[in-house]
Amino acid sequence: MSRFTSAAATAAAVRGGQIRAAGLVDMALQRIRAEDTTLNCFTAVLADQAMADARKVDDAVRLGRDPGPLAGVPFAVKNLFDIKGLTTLAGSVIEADKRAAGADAPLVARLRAAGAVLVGALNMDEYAYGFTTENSHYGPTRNPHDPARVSGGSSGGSAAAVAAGFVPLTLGSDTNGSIRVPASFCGVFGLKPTFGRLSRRGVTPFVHSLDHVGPFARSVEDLALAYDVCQGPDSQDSACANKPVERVQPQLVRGPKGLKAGVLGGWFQDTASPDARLAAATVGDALAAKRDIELKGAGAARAAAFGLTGYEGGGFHLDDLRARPQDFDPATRDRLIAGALQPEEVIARAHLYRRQFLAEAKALFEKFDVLIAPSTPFSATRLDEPMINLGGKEVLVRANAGLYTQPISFIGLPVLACPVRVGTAMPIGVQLIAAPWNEALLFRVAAFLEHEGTVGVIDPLPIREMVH
Amino acid sequence: MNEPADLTAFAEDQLRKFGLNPSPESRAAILANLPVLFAMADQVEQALSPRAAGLPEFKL
Repeated sequence: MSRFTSAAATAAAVRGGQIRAAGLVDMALQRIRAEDTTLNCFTAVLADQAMADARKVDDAVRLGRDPGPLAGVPFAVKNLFDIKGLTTLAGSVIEADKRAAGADAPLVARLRAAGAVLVGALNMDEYAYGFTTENSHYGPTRNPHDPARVSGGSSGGSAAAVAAGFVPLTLGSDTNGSIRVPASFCGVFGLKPTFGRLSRRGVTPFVHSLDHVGPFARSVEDLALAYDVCQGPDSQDSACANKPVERVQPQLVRGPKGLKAGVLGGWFQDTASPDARLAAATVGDALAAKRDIELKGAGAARAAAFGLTGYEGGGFHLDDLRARPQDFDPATRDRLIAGALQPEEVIARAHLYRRQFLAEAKALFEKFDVLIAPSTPFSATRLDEPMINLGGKEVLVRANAGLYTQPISFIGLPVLACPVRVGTAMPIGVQLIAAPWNEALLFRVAAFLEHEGTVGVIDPLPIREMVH
Repeated sequence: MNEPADLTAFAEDQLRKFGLNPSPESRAAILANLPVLFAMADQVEQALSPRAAGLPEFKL
């Protein structure tokens, strides 16, 4: 078994008794100890707990009990998910003073109940407000493909840990692109399901009306495995829809026959780098997609999401912004305060526009089953270069890498983010976008694209060969 | 135009209302962020159709 062995193959080998979970988890822990000093994916490693859990999986196999579909698969979660016995940091030092979580978040509990072994908590932008995981308190998470570059954010630890082969599965959150942006920069798969599909209970909120959670993986099959385990209603999360589990694993072999695809133009192309355009066009060609499809008002949707994020995010942290402003990263704090100051009528219009933009998208889905857009306008930037030229303007990477993801999460559409094999120096991804609740269709398309080689993970060089 | 004519007076009023008292450096950064937010608000206002109010509540 290598560091890049899939979750599916790992679980099969553990379930079949060919390999012990304890040995696998020990190897994962050794890799993290040896290499995470460079990448800085983890803010906590739960070695003792992980080894104990792995031994329980091995005991189940030995006793002939079902150890679960993810038996022995090491996983880790963004440090805004509650982990019983650990303080939930949400990337801040303010939260570090708070009590340890009394229970696992439901998604963490579901993965553990399926036999997966939690090995730690992962770095992120402070309070999920950023696209680069340059955390001023816990340090930046570096990109496994080039440690001089950002991992993307805010779920940068989650994407980088999968790309580096520390673990095959992680969980992250996505309010404006925080799964899709780091998936693109680190070259892995990520799923942002329909708003309300997966329970957000036990996850530190950022923007209640926009927050989503979802998995990262190195293959479509692994992403499907994790997603199927995570599904299910949660009456204690007011945003979680009362939907039955709609397993996507059986969809992976169906192929895209009969599906109509379109590549989004306009907003999703105008500022895109040649690499981003090539990625979207390559996937479009593989699906015989129509080009230059217009999703009207995407720029305004991004603007509305931007304003709403500052307003709701700022409002949520007002007490700490009053009492201990010095404990925030200044860049986070000042954006949160500015956002909170916006007049109420501005925010009311953003909510109203959300209805209008959803209607536009739904009209487009009467003609197309899947829409394609770059995940990011550019690939991972250097840590020492905070600005980038977009459409002739110098803008902050930290605030603008989500230009193409924000309009889509604003209306809660499901997106499967795929790394595209286009031979670029750094990875870059596309968003496969469907109508609400159509995750299964996205898995069909992504599995086909992966099978015929258009999308897929490229292994990074070993860390020791890149760092001198 | 959503941006108030006197942005500093607007910001100070809002900061008082919310009980916030940022440092001078933080105040300057907040003031630098506000025009960006108001420009975004203008963009939303211009794109908003009169029929939007008649659309059903956001529901997937």
